Amino acid sequence: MSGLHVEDVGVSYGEMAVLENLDVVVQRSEVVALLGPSGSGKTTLLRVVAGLRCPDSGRIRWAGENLTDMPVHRRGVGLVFQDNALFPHRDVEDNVAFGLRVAGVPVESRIRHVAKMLRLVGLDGFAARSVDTLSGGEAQRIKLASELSRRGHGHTLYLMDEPTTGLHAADVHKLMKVINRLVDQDNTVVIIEHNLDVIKCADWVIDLGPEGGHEGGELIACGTPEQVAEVEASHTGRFLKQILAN
Amino acid sequence: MVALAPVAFLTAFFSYPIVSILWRGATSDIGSLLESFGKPTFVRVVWFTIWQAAASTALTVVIALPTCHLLALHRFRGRAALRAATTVPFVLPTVVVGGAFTALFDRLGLDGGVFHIHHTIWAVLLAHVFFNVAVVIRTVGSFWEGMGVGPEEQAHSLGASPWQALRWVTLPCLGPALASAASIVFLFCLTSFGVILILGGPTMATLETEVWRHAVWRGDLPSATALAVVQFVAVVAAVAATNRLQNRLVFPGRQQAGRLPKPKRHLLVANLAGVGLLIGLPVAVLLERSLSAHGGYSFRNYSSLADRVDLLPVSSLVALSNSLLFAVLATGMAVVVGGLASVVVVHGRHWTSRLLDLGMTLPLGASAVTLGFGMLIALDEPPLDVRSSRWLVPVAHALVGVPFVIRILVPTLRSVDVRLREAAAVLGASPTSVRIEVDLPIAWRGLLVGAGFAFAVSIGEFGATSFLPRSPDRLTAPLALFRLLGTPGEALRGQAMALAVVLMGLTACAVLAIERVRGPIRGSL
Repeated sequence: MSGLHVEDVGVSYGEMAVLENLDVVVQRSEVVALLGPSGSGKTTLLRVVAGLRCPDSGRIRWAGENLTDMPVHRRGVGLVFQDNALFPHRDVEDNVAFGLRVAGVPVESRIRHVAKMLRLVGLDGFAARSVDTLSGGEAQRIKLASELSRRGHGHTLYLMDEPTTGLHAADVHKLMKVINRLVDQDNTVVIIEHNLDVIKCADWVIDLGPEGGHEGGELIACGTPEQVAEVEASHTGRFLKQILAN
Repeated sequence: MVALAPVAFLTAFFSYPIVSILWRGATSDIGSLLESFGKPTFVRVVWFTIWQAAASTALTVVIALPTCHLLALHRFRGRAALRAATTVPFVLPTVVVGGAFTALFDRLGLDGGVFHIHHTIWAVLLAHVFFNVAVVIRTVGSFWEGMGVGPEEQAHSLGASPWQALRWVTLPCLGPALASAASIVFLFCLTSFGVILILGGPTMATLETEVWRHAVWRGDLPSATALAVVQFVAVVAAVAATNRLQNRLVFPGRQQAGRLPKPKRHLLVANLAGVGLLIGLPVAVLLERSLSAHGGYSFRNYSSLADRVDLLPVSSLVALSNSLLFAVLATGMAVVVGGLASVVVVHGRHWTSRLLDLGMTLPLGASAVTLGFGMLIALDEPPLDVRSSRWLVPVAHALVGVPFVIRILVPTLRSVDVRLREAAAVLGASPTSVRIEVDLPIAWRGLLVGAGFAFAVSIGEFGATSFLPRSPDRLTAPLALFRLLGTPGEALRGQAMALAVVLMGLTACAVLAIERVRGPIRGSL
C-alpha cells in the first residue's frame, strides 16, 4: 500500500459521467503517463487526486493513508497545471517560496532554498524577475520549482497536467531532466502528456476512454507503452504503435 | 460565519428602520392616512416631486448630449481633462453645490429683481443639471464611443441629412444608453434633498423635504410616515426600472481613439464654453466669494472658520473635525462590512451570495432621507436604543458607503483567477491563507478605491444626518454649512463660502486619491 491507489472512483458533472468506477494503482518511484482523447477524464482524475474535486464515489489512498476527505492544502501532493498559474502580484522568488512561506519556514532558509530550486530548474538569477516577463517555458519551470521547493526530498506524489504545452524542444529536455531527478529521489510522477519524448520516458501508461467518444472515464488499457501499443481496441495504442515503429 | 457581520449590520440599521416605517404606515389609522393622501397639498407635493425630476432629467440629457458627441467621436488636446472636469460635480456634496449656486446668484444679482432665479424652480433645475451631467456623459458617451460614426456615415451615404441621420439613426441607436442614463438621473432627482432645501427655499416642497419638515420641524410623525411610505414606494419603483434598463444595456466594443477625427472649431469652442459656464462658473464664483470680505479679497473668511458664531453650537472648524472623524469611522466600518460582504458575494453559496449582493446595495437606491427618518423612529427603544449614541451618525454614513465598497470590490475579487487559489491550496495554503495571500494582495486596490468613495460620501452626507439627533457639539460640516447658508448676513455668508470650499477640497482629495490608486481595477459604480 505504499503507492497511489485510486479505488472505484466515480465523478460526474450533472448527467455526464466523467470517471466511472476507475481503479488504478501506481507504485512508488514510477513515472506514469496518463493518455486518452479530450474529455476522457484525465485532468479530472488529477484534480480528484490533488483534492481540488471531490469524487462522487470511491476513495483515494496515498502511502496507505486515505486522502479522500482530506482538504487540498493538507495532502502534500504537488500539482503542476496545464497553463502555469503563477501569482501575478509576486515576483519569481516569492512565487517559488510561496509554499515555504505558508509552512512558516524562516526567511533565510527560504531564500537559500529558492536559489537551490531555481538552479535545479536551470533558472539561476531569475529570483527578482516579474512573472510577466517570463516565457512559457520559463514560467512552467518556475511553477515546477515552486512545487519542488515546498517538499523534502523523496516520497512525494507529483501530478503534472501537460507541463510541456507550448515549450521549445530544449525546454522540454530540461523539464524531462528535472522529472528524472525527481524519480531518482524516490518521488512518484503521474503526468498527462502528448509529447512523445515524455511518453517514452514513462514506466507505463494509462489509457482512458472510451475511444473516439466525448464522454470518458473508463480504463481502456494500461501497461508499458509497448504493451498498450499492442491493444487493438485502443486508439491511443494504435497511435503509440505507429510512433514506436518509427 | 463571515456573512453574519454584514447581515446583522444591514438588518439592524437598514432593514429594521425601513420596515418600521412601512409597519407604522400599515398599522396607522387608514382613514386619516387616506385623508392625508387626498389633501390638495399632498397631491401637489407628489406632483411637484415627479415633474421636477422629469424636467431635470430631460434638461440634463439635452444639455449633456453635445458634450457626449464631442467626447465620444472626436480626439483633441485636453479630451481627458474635459471628461474629468465634467465628472467633478457628481462627487461634490449637495450642500457645497447649494453653496456654489447661492454664491453664483448672489454675484450675478440673480437673487432678486427681474432676473430672479434664487429660490425658484430654475435654480433647482440648474443644480440638478450641474450634478447629473456626468451620469449622461459617462453612460451615453461610453456607448456612443463604442458605436462610433459607422451608422451615421451609412445614413449619410444613403442620402440622409445630418438632422435625419440624428433623428432616424443616431438617437434610436443610442436609445438604450439614453434610457439607462435618464432613469438614473430621474432617480437621483426624485431623491434630491439638499439642493431643494437650499436652492428651492422654504416654499418649495418635494416628498423628501416634506418628510424632513414634518418629522424634524413640526414633530408630526404620522404625516411624515405617510409621506415616507409614498416616497419609499416611488423610489423602489424607480430603482426597479433603473435596474431593468441597466441590465438591458450592452456596451459595444470600444473604438480606438487614434482613429477619431478632430472636432470642428466651433463645435469645440461651443462645448468648452457650455461646460465652462455650467460647471466652471459656479465653482469659480464660489472660490471668489470665499475670498471676498469687506469689499476686498483676503483669507478672512477662512480664518473665521475657527470662530464660533451664535447660529452654531460649535465653530465651523470643530464641525469640520467632527465630519473628518465621522468619515474616518464610517470608512472603517464600510470597509470591514463591505469587505466581508464582498467575500460572501463572491465565494458564498448561490442564494446567500445573491441575497447579500442585493441587500447590501439597497441603501444606494433608498433615499438618505427615508433612511434617516427610519433610524429616527425605529432606534429609540430596546433592543436597539441607540438613537443618542455617538456611533449612529458614522453608522448611517457607513450604510451609504458600503454599497460603494461592494460595487468596486466584488468585480475585483471575481477577476482573481480561480487557478491561483487552487495553486495556493495545492502548495499548502489553508482557505484563510488563500484569502490573505492571494485575494487580498490582488484586491487591495479595489478596497482602497471603495474606501475613498465611502470617505467622500461620508464627508458630504447631509440627508440622513439631518434627521439624527445628536449633542450640539457633534454638528457636522454639511449641517453647519446648511445653517450658515440659510441665514442672511455678509459675515455668515462669507464663512459659508469658505466652509464649502474646504468641503469641496476634502472631497476633491478623496477623488484624486481614488483616481491615483484606481489603476486597472474592474469595479465601477
